[in-house]
Amino acid sequence: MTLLNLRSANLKIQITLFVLIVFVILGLFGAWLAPYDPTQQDLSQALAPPFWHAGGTTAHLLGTAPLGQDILSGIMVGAQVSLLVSLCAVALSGLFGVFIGLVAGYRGGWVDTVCMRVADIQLSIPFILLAIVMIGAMGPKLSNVIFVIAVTNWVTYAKVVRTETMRLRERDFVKSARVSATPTGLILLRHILPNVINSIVVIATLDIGKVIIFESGLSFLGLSVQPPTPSWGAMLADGRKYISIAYWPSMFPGIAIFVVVLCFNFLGNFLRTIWDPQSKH
Amino acid sequence: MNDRWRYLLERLIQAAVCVWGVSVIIFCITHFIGDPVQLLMPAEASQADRLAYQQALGLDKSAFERYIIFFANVLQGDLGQSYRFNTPVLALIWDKFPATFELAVAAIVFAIIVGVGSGILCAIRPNTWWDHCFEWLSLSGMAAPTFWVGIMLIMFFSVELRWLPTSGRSGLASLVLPAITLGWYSTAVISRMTRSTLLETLETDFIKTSVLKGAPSHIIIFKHCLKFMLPTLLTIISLQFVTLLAGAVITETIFSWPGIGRLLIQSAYGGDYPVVQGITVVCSIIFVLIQLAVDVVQFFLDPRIGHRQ
Repeated sequence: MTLLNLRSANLKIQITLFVLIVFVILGLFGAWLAPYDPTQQDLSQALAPPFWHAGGTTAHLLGTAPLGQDILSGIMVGAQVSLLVSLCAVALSGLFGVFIGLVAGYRGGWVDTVCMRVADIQLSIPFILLAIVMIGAMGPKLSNVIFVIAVTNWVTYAKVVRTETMRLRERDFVKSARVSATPTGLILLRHILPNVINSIVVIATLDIGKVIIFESGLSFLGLSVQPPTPSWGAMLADGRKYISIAYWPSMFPGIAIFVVVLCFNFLGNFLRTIWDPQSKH
Repeated sequence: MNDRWRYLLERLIQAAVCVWGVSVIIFCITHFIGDPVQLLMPAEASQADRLAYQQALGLDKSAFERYIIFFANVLQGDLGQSYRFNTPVLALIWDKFPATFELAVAAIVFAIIVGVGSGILCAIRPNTWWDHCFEWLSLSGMAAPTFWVGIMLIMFFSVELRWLPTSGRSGLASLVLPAITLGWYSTAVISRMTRSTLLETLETDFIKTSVLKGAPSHIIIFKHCLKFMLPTLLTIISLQFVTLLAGAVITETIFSWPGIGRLLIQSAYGGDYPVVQGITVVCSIIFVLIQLAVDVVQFFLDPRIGHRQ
């Protein structure tokens, strides 16, 4: 990486971090920061355009939804669902996947075979179908959505951690820990985990973006949090029916998803380049 | 030779295990996470019907026996009865499958043409403005959710320009927007993968040799490189095709495309759980079979596969 590259990468990563911090702040405090209550309907203001259009006012910067709800407030408060679901689901699937990967990779043998076969089976049911079947059986609640995404998402972690663990298992420092009778759990935690943690963080960062898209897709289909809780996907689905007369109710929530996911992808790629210079391509 | 056939056999067994595992997972979801009588009976069913159904499902039997019944039914193609349409689930799926298949094929063709094409253009001129432009485009492609892309396309091409229909399935014009929407993500993935694979291939000795011997660049790219990359590309494309079939759920909902995805969503809303369950089982089996087919084709195309180092 030349100096020039590093500088432009720095600028990009600064913007990325700024956007992500804004996202997290909105996710935590959006309800207090929003100018309006995003569930509050005002039919006299229905489908008011954004402020730069004729007829738009600065009272509703990004315009209003079909029932007069403020779109900017909706996006600010809706960040909460995206943040909550993505962080919880990624943490759960990450923990589970890493555990399976460590055990399967370190033990090998039949434990490994069973784990990897289960992973194959898991991968052969497409995510969206599994999500619909499970949510159909459990009901569309926020906790269920987190559970479904976590259950369907652990395989990537397990596979990556398993491969790295198998490689590390044969290294001298692990072997010497083993011959000095270190308990297996301690070897995994002290000697193997620290060496795979970078890859895990990279995958998890990229995964957050993916999960935000999953969740908004489920909200879009009406299978995630139910109204009146605002979520980006549901706002889009709402606005979709009015695209022939107003673009803003479906445009802006989509831009919010797009920008946040793009930033998580940038961050993930950035972390990968600094931690693993070989994987630039 | 022995090793190779053993590899093929192992691959076949693995596919069979996957199909079986899928049936176990789906069974567990309907029977343990959910309440099967409630899920598999219409909401307005009478108490007597429920009791009769409980008997028919064999809920008095052990879980293992119930699973055997379920699995035997799946193997015979009996996926239950839809209560909204009052027809066997499998017949419903067969009815809707061609529409989804058509859409997925159109999407993958779009993704292959644009993805492979742009990937090659980027790889032969790496680090030019052209390359950076496509890098941004594909990064955006991966970050933009399908449903948003679809709605924006409708807004621009159907509402503003009035070039293409907003929804439905009537002729080639109605296929264009759904196919682009569905293929959007895959295009980005295929483009990136083609670029990096081609860049790697250009570094191999046999390509360098033909460059030194003065072979024209189009022969090198299209004959030598693409042939060498074909197995990798085939794997990526087949994986993408499989995700497309599932991704059709959202695309079909946006464009009111009368395929399996829309049937699935309408059944989920209408509480028609046998259809939801049936579609998931059938699609997963199709997935496993497509991936198996690709591996078998590769096995016969590439004599290196299956030899252990």
